[in-house]
Amino acid sequence: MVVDYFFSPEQKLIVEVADRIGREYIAPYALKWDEEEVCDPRPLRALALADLFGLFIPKEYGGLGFGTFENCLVIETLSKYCAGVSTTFAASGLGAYPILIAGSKEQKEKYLPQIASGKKLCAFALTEPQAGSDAAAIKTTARKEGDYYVLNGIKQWITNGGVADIYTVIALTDPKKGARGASAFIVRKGDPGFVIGKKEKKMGLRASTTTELFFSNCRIPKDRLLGREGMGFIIAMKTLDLSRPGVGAQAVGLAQGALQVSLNHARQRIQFGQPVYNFQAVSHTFAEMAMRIEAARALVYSAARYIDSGAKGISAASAMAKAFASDMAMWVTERAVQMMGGFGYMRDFPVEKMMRDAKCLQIYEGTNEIQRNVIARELPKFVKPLEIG
Amino acid sequence: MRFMVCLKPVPEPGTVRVDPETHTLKRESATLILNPADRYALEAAVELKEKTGAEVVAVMMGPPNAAPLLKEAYACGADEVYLLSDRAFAGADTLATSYVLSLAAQKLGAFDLIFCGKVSIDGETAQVGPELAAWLDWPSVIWVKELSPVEGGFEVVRVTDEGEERLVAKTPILFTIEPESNDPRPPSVKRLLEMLEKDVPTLTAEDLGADPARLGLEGSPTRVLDVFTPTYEGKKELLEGAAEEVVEKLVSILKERGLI
Amino acid sequence: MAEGVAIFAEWAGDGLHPVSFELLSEARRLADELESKVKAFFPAPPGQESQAEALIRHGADEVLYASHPAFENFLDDAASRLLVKMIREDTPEIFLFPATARGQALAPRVAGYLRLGLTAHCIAFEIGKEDRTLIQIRPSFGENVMAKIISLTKPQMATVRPGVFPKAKEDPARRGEIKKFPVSDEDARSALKVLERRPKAAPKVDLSRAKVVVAGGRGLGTKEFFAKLFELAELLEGAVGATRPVCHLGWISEDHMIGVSGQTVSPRLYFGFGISGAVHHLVGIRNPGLMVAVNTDPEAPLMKKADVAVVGDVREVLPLLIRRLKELKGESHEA
Repeated sequence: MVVDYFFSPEQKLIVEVADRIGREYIAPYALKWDEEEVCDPRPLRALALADLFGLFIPKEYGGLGFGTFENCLVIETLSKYCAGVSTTFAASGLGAYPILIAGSKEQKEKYLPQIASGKKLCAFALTEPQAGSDAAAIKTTARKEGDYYVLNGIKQWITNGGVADIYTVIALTDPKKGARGASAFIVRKGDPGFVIGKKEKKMGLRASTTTELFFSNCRIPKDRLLGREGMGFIIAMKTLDLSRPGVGAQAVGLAQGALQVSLNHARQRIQFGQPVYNFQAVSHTFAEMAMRIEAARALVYSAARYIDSGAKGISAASAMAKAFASDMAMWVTERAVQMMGGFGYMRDFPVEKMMRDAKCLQIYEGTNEIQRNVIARELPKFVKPLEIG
Repeated sequence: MRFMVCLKPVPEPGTVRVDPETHTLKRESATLILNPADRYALEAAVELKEKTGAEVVAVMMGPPNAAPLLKEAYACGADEVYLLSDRAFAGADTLATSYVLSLAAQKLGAFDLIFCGKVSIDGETAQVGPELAAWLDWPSVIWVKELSPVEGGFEVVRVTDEGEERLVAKTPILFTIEPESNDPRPPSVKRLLEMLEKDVPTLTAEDLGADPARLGLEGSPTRVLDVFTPTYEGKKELLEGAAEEVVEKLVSILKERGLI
Repeated sequence: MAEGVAIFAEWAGDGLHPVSFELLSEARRLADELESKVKAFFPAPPGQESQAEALIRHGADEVLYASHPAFENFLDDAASRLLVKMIREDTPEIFLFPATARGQALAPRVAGYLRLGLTAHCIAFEIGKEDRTLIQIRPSFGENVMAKIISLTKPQMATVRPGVFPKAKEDPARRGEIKKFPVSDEDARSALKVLERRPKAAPKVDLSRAKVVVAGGRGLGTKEFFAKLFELAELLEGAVGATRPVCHLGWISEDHMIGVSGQTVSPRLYFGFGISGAVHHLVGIRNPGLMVAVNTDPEAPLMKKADVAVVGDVREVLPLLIRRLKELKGESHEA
């Protein structure tokens, strides 16, 4: 970091622990997990024992009671080492948000302590084959039958599918109403009629698992409903508002990692009798990379702190942090590969993996095109006319 | 049950300086880390505590700036932590070090087990554990990779030069733990936060009732006479240039020598 | 008065540990310089007189044979108490232990009981000219130099890794004395009871006998790249060695470690890739036939010590070398 962001002693301590997990439990294995497409439980156990799954869960539910900002610090730090592992971590947080946002006291008491301890991982299930950017086009239904809801449908590209025990699922309780007929449910691994589908083969983030979820007459008790019927879409949008700075933080960490690897290489690599870093075409590229990373970091931190202030209209800030930082990470990782030349292109070195990982950050949790829709939709609220002269 | 774990602060490789007079490490000048092998000892103790409900007491002989490492030990599951720190301890060899640890073992309670790491990355003597057991007149088993409680003691598997041995050991006993026999946990953030404002309790030579003649350099029967840098004769053949060329030259040398 | 140069003759369950004969050769050398005797302290089960005789044929003047059925197994506590008793009755001037599993368990216990100095993993000894002091040489603590260490107590005790000294030559004509050291059941009492010995199906990585050793250090950059050494080792029919930092990084298990607390190697061909050459590593390489180092820094100690120093990036040189050797293998197969 070029800039000191004046972390509190608690925040420094959290970053130190996350960095240690990155160094000791992730860095030596990151390339192997990527190659073998393995979601290894070992770093997850370490994160659990370090209490980091409970970072933003309130103390009364067994968490540490910190906020979005601290969550971003941990995600950023882990992403330096492997954005796949940080995806598993962040996606569990994503799955926990609906319970935090809309869960009853009983639901919170039942689920949050398990999540905070890291004993149970979460997943968030909104996307469907025909409903990606157009999330309102979901078809999964939840029909009320006495004391139960019966779910039918397919969810697609669900991070932590099969790895998670607790799934927050958006389904239509009133298909006629469209988005306003959607509701949020807790579905648990092992519920009757709930089946994990095939594991996707991805370009990047290969240390995290992405699957389909099938619901065929999946019967769950009615107390699994989060909030009230019809609130599902609102809960989903609030969840994404809260989690998107986390994707931004992932992007910042990933880009930071690419900078560290490639800068070190450029200072060691001798061509034409001197380190390639001495050539202006190279050094200016690094200057540009560092500038963009720092700008994105400042935006991500500001958005996260803004959310933690309790502010209401956070959608635009959150979307900006996500889109700006992930576009930055794509650019920076691509440049990092270029700066390392042939080495950058080889799978023996981490930067090509970082470049593949970065691509997903522009796509998931709402494509960057959708983020711009969100920002544009919100702009009139923030941008007042200015008359000069 | 009550377990003691002995921890050593070691200089992070590359950060150490040496006293030119005594040739002992100037630990004050170095960035200190927990000796890597000791983390396996701590983890073994904490895992056994989780099975048996024992208390784990971590002790470390070291300078005041080693105290944060004991906070780390607390965050990794130790119930009590103590820094054994006194100017009189400076310059101790393994005998004087194990003497101080033996006093702590006697002062801090009736222990059933003592856990030590296999070897430190700075001294690399692997002596302190068994020496401590001798001071206490306890049995010891080194290079333990598995242990489980049985009636009257523990069943352990130790690594030997020939393979492994399974044995039963009566308590009290000291074990040194084989690295990689477990997966040491990272510190818990919750427990680190608890320690943020707290001081680590320190025990001095006086607190331990130590015999001054047994402490530090004075209590150490070994002395470093001299240090020297080995010199290497310049018989070498230097291969420089493009990678393809040097590899070709290297291959021809290996062929000439009949090595390939 | 302390007299004689003693060694711990190690009973390895089915015979003497070969390191016992290595200690004998150095003890003989020291005893000759001191005009003194070599004593072998030999706790073992009954009926091992022939082993005691072998110790004499390899240079011992006296063997103190302490026999008891319990010593079939190595019992740390009983063995150390017995040795303490033996040393108190017959105190040698110098006592050398092997730095084997048993030696490392035993020597510090003896040092602790007798309040003695003990120097671990020595690689050479000298005798002080004026005062007959044993000067014990080993890599210094935490710095990249060798240290000369002395003990102020007697016996002056040190441990030595297998492979550091040559095996003593056998002389069938040598004569010496075998003294039976009486052992009571109380002496053999132990808190330990061995239930089972499990010899390893595949022995631990034995670098000491490898003809070719391909070693790597932190300069290889990553665990994955380090793994390329196995490819090269396979091509050269050799074994993979490593420096301590690399083992601590988890790139490879400690079984592969060469150096002060690792193994000692003496191959016909030693390769060091990305190894700077800290003395802690170098002391583990004894008399290599040809030493090749690859490093970007020609000033690195290993590069200075090497017979062939390749100045270059290991990331370029290693893959090229592997490819070239594969080509050669292919050619010879076709021929």
